[in-house]
Amino acid sequence: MVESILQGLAAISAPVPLGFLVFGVVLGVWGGALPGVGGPAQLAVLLPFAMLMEPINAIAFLIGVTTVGNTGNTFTSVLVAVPGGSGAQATVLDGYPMAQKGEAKRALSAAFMVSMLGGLIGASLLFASLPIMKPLVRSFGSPELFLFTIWGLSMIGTMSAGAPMKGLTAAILGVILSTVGQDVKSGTMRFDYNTPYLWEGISVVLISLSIFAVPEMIALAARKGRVAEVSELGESGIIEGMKDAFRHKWLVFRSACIGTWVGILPGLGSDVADWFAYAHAKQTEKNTENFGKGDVRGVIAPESSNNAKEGGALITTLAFGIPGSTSMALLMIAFVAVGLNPGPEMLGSQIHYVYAIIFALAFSQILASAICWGMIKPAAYVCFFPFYVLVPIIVALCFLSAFSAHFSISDIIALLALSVLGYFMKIGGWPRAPIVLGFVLGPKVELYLWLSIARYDMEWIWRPGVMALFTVIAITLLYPVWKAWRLAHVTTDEPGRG
Amino acid sequence: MHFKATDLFTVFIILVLGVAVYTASHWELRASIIVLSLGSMGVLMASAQLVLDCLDSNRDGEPKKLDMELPTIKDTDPNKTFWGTMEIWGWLAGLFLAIHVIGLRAALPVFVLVYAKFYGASWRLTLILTAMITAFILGVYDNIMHVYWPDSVLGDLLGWED
Repeated sequence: MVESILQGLAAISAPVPLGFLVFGVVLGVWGGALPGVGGPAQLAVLLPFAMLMEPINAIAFLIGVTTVGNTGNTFTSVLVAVPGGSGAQATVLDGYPMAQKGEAKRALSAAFMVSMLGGLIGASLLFASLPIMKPLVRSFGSPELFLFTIWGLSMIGTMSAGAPMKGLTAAILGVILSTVGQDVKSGTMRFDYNTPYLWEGISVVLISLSIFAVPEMIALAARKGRVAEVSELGESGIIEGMKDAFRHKWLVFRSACIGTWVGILPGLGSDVADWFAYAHAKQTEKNTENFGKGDVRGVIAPESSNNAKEGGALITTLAFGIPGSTSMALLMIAFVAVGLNPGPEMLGSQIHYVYAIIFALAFSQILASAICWGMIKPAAYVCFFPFYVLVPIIVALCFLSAFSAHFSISDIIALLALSVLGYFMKIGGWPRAPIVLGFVLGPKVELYLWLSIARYDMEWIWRPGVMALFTVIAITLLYPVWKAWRLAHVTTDEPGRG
Repeated sequence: MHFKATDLFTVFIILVLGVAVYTASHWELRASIIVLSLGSMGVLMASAQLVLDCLDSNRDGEPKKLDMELPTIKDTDPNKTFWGTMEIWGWLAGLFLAIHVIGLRAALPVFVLVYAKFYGASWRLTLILTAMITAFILGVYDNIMHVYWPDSVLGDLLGWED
């Protein structure tokens, strides 16, 4: 085993693979920072080149490109409320308010530090899990996955504490929007209104752009100001952000574990990991009244989780040959093309490549964070750009990102229509995060429910894993109620004490 | 009862969910169960929210702060903000029209140029911004991704090909 580990480390540390790794990381960060460019689209473009490489070079290059997008996409989420990718949606909720308060540097610095730490924790868990992964993943069937997604939806109660009914209704609207298109179980066309564009459903890119980015740009253009309300960015912001990561080290660790676990479970991606971690932070941390108003913990939780997810996603891809996401599927295609065989064989005769992948993952996280730190200072000044610089550029990027969903003019129409919804939700006092979470989790809830019924009839309810998750959900739902009751109880008792 | 203009949005949500439930009632059960069950709950919850909002006698005061919502910068001049909002929606409608007429690839740089110049950016800054977005479109979307751009009215008239 030690020999294989050293073999993997030596292979990835050689100058040529290391050069490809650096090149891949630069492309990955760049793709992540530009909305609509990174992720599977970028990987698909680079795949033909990678397929011609030596296996170790392909590993270095592709791991570099694939696993750092969630570090690069923090820039737009924090600075202009445009989620650079699906893994950076929850970051907007506290990252953008921090930018408005002149704390963009601190938010970005904390995000990059925890991205690195989260990524390293994910890589370590990938390393540690190799011997025990098989029985663990096999114990998780569709009923447990169904309960896991329900757990995600139950977090909406926590996420919209100011208006739980509006939050739940928004989540339901998100779930219903996610059902648009052909139902794979029955072949029924849902809400297509005889429009071919709707057969494939609505892209999550369109939802996140129209619910968060466009309404914020409209607000900025309407008040004709700047993102930041203050005139100073704070010189100590970068150091403060790094300290924040260590101040909340247990939150970083817990969020990274959540991210890794979500990555392991097939079908759940970074778009879920960041929301789970955010809701977990809001539920378990003390003094959460500033969440959503620029609390650094609201940046730390999703950012450590979405990077750790990469380690988890690689566990199932490498150990079982089951890609949990589009990016992992593309990665697997490239691995197979260069002669690697993800699955049991890879854990046997090709184990040194697995260790090379783990080291490549760890190096990529460190390198990506270093690159991003270098870009914080110039990038943070985006907050001071006048609206007539930001609005046209961001609107143009939003239109291009939306167009990238299906490369159709209908994408633009859908973006504008959904932006009207997002805008009225903003001015009508409706929480917007639950609609995105509902949209992301809706198809998974439906799929796993039907798989559970088809496979186990109603017997699935009595599986031990399901019962355990039912308990977790009950605690998730009841904990905020108990917390509120306890707070009220303490408050009413206090005068008597004095 | 205190019915406010913002309640119209709640009514809109109730209607959307109601139409969704009605539409789903014509599908087979496997395809409709999620929409029927959740949609009905949504109609009930949104209706309850509307009633609660209308019965709330304190709602004319400071609006409640929502968790999980991006904070809005305090509106110092509502009149200016209203017309600013109308303006930007007008710009978006204009951009959409321009995309139809001259195509997405040309409309976006034109939008950047006209918007920045209209609101007082210097010619130098305006041209830099326009060049940036043009380079991004040509470099990434044209040369790397080889995107097929949608047809435009002018392109069809003049026989341009993408």
